[in-house]
Amino acid sequence: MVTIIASTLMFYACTNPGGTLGPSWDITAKIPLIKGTEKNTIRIEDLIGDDINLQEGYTESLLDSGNSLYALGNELSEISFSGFSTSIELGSIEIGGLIGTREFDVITANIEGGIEEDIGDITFDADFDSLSLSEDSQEALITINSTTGSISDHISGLRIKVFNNGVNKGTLYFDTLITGDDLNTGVEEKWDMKNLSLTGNQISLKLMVEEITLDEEIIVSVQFPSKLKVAELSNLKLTDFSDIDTRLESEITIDDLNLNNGVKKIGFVTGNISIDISSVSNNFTGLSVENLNIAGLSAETDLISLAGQELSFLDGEKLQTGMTLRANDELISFSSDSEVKISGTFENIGISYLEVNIDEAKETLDFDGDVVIDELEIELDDELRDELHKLNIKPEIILNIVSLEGMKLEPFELVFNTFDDSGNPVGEEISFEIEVSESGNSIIDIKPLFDRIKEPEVNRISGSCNYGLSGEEVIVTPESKVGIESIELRVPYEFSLNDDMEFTLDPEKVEALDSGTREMLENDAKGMLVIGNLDNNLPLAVAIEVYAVVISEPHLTNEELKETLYKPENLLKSKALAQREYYEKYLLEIKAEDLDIFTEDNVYTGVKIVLPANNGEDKYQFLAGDKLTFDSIYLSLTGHLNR
Amino acid sequence: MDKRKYRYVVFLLIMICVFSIVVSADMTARSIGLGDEFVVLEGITGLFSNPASVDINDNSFALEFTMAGEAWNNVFVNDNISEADKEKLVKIAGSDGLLIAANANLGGKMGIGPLVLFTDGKANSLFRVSDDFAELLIRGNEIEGEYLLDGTDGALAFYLDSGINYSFKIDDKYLDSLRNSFKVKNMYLGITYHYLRGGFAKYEADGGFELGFDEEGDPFVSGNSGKVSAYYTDIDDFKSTAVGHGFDLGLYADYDDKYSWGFAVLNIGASLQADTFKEYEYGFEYDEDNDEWNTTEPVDDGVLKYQEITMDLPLVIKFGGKMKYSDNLDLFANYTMSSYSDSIYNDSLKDHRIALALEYTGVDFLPLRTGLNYSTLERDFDIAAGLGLYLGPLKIDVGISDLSGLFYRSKGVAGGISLRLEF
Repeated sequence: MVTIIASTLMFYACTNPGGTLGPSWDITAKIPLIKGTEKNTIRIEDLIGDDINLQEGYTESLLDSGNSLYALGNELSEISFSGFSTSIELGSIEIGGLIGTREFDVITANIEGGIEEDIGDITFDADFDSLSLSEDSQEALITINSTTGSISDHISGLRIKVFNNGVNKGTLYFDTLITGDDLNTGVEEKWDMKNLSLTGNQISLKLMVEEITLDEEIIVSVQFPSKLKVAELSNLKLTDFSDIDTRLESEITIDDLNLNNGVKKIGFVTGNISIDISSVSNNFTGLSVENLNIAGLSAETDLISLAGQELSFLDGEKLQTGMTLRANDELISFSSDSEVKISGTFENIGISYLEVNIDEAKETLDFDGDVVIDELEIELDDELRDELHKLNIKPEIILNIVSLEGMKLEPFELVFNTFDDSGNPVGEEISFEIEVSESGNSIIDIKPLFDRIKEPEVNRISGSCNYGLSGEEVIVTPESKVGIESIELRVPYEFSLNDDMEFTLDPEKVEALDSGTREMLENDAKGMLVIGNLDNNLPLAVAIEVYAVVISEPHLTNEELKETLYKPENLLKSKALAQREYYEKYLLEIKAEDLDIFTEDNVYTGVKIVLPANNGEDKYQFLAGDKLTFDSIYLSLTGHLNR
Repeated sequence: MDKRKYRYVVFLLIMICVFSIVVSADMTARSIGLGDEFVVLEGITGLFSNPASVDINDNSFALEFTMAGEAWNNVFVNDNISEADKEKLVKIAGSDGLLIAANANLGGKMGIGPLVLFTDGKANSLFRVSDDFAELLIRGNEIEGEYLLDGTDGALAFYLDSGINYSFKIDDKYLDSLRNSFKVKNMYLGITYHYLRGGFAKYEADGGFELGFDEEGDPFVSGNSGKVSAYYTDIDDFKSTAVGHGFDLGLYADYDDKYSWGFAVLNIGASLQADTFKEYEYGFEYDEDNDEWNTTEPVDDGVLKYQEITMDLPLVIKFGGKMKYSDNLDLFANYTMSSYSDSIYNDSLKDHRIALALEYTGVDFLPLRTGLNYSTLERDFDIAAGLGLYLGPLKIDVGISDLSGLFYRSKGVAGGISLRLEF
C-alpha cells in the first residue's frame, strides 16, 4: 500500500500538465534564407535617386555657379578721376557794423524855401578808402517827425540830398505836402543805396524845402541796413571781424572723370581730397577761407578725408561746393569780381559703394542677361524610367535670383531642348514663362519637361534663359553681383502612384531540408517564414511577397534568376505591411505541403516588395531616412518535444 | 549541410544521459524521505552518510535491503516550457551547461554489533552538455550562430561496492579530556572500507557547426570538425573489470540529550582503476567543397588500449546536526559538499547542498518524514517525503522526492524502498 502511494506520488511528481513525463517544450529549427543586407534594403532613394534631399525633394542642379552672375559692382566701380580745379567769384560781401542809425535835430524856423540847409554828417563806424555797394537793392530808411506839429502847419517840396566828398550821391524826395499831423506820426522815405560808391567814410546830408509854415523843431532819422552788400572795398578797417557774411557756392567739375551713367553717389572706404586754395586771381586782402564744403563734405583743413564718406554728384558729374570767408586782417580790400581758386586732388581712393540709378545706368552697362543652363545628362536605366511613368509628381524648377534692394530682375523665358544620345533633338522646344516672386525667386511647374524625360530616347537636356535689369536708386558695392544664381530641378517629396511599383530582391539559394526535419513537419510541426526586425519605415503600406522555386539550370544571371523566380505560380506567401510599422518578427505561416519545395535541391527564394498604386488619392510624404529594412528572412520549423 | 548528422549527435548525447539515469549512489528510503543523506542518521540506515552513527542504537543485529535511485538535471522542470521560460533556462545553462545526473544503488547490509558488512550495486553518473548545445536543445538554433560541443563531457561508473564498517563509542575516560574543551555527552567514531569492482565510461566531445549568412549575404551552414570520444572499461566476461578502494570516516556526537551533530568524509581515495580500456572515437569532418559531413568510426567497437585508466568517485564532505524537539519529533539540518574531480571534467564541478528535515514518530509503527533541500548544482529546491511501516523488528521505509513536481516545478526525481530487520 505504502509502495503504491509512493509510486503514484512519484509518477505525478514527474508528469507535466500535458500528462507526459518530464518537461515538454517546442523546439525550433531556423534555416536562414535571405540576409537583410544593404542591397536588400528598400530605400526611398530607390524611387527617386540617390541625390535626394527629402526635405526639399529630389534636386538636380541645372545651373550652379557664381560665374553666371553679372558683376554689376565690378563694372560700375571701374571709375577714374584725378582731381578738380575751379575758381569762385567772391561777388558782393555782406558786412555788418559799418553804420547804424543816425538822428539829426533840425530847427525849422531857420529854414527858408529854396535854400539847402546842412543837416549834419554821418560817419561810418569803420574807416576805408573807398567802398562800392553792390547792385543789389539795399535801402536806408529816412524818417522825419515832430512832437509838436500843428495841424495847420505844413511842409512842401521836402528833399534830402546825400553828399560824399562833396559829390551828390543821391536825393530823396518826400511828398509835396507834409502836414503837421503827418509829422506827428512820422514821415518815411527809403533810399536805395545800390551801386553807391563812396570815397570816404563820411556822408553829408542837406535839406531843402519849397515852402514851410512850421517853426517847430523836427527830427530827421536815418536808419541804415544792418549789413551792407559791398561790391568793392578798399582798405576797410574793422574793429569787429565777426560780422562779415561770405558764403560762396559753386559747382566743381572733376578732371578725368570716368563715371557710368546713373551714378549718384560714391561712398568711400578710404581716400582723401587734398585741397589747395592758395591761388587767388584779382587779389583781395584781409579775407581767407574759413570753411570749405565739397559735395557735403566739410574741411577745416586742407585735407578732406573720404573714409566712410560719400560724394554726391549733380547731373551725374558735378559736385556742389561752398565755402565761407573770414576776415583775417584789419584792412580788407576786395572787389566783387575777385576769385577764389580751389584745387583738389584725390588720393588713395577706395570705393565702398555706389548709389546708382539702374534705369539710367543700364544704358551704358556691358550686360546682355543671357544665361546658358548646364547640360543635364539623364542617366536612368530603363527599369527606373518605367517606374517614373507610375509616379504622379509635380516637378519644379527653382530660379534662385540675386538682386539688390530697389533693383528688379526681369527673367523673361526659360527654354529647354531635349536630345537623344546622338545629340539629335527629341521633340520641340519647351519654354516656360517666368515671373519673379516678391522674394526674388521663381518656381516654375515643369511637368511638360518631366513628361519628356520619361521618354526612353531622351538622353540630355539643355536650356537657356534671358533676363533684364530695372530699378531706380540702388546701393552697389564693388562686389555686387546680380542675376540668376542657380537653377534647380526639384521633384517634391510628395507624390502619388499611378500604378503598382515593385521591387525584387536578388534570389538566394537555400539549403534543402533533411528528411528528419521533413518528418517532423509531417508530424504536427509548424512552418513559418519569419522576417526578423522588419521595419517598414515608409509612408505607404506595402505588400511583401515571398517566392520560392527550384532552378536547376546552373550559371544563370541574376536577372535570369529573377525572371524565373518572380512568377505568380511561385508565390509562397503574401502579406500586407502597414505603413510605418515595425515588426520584431513578421510571421508568414506556410502550409506543410508548401514546404515540400525546401526538401529539394537548388531551391531559390526571393522577396518582392509591392508599393500599391493610390491613383492620386493620397500624397506620399517621405522623410529623411525612410526605408524598408529587415535583418533576415528565415524558415522556422517548430516541433514539439514530449507532447 | 546534412542536418541529420548534427541532429544525430545531439540525439546521441541526450540518449546517453537518459540511460545513465539507471545508475546510482548511496541512498536509502529513509534518507530520500528526509531529502538528504543526513550525517546524523543513526543505525544501519546511516551507513553511507556517516560511518560513525551505525551502531548508536546498540542493536545486536540488523539486516537491510535497499533499492533507491535518483535523477536530476539543472535546467528543465516537469512543465510545459514557454518561450519566456526558455530565456531563463538558457541563462542557467549558460553557466554550467546542461547537467544530467543519475545515482542508484541496490544491495544489502548486515550488521552484527559494531560491525557491518555490506554489498551494493551502485551507479553514479554526471553528464554535461555544452551550453551551446543546451541552448539548441532548449530553444533551437538562431539563424546566425556557432554551436560547439566543446565542454560536453561526463562520466558514469557502475560497480559493486562491498565492504565493512566498524563504529564504536568513545569511552568516557577518553572523552573527559575533550569535555574540558567543549560539551559532549557521547561521541562515536566510525570507518568504512569499500572494495570497488566494476566498470566505468567517460566521454568528451568537441566540434560543432555554424550557420548564418556569408559576406555576400548568402545563407550558409558549415561545420567545425570535431569528435566524440568515449573511454570505457572492457568488462566482457569480467576479465578486465576496474578495481578500486575507498574509505569513509565519520564522527558523531551527542551534545546532550537534545542535540547531536556529525561530520563525515566519504569516498576518501575512492576510485576505480583498470589496466586496459577501449577508446571509441567518432570523428566528423566538414567537407567545405561538397557541403557535407564526413564521419570516421573505429573498426569494431573501439580500440583496445593497454593503458591504465582511472575513474575518480566524487569526494563528499558532510556535517550537520539533529535536534530532538520532542519525544516524537526530530529536526535535522545538513550541509553536503560533493566534488566531481575526475579528469574528464574540463571544469571540476562542486555541489553544495543544504537540507532541512523533520521526522515524526508519534505513531510508533508509522514514522512520517519530510524535508526540503537546495542544491547549487541542480539549482533547485526539492521537497521530499517518506514514511515507514514498522512492524516490530521488521521495518519498511519508503521515500520519494521531489514533490514540487506536483506543482510542475521539479528538476528531478528520487525514490527508494528499504526493508530492514532490526533487533
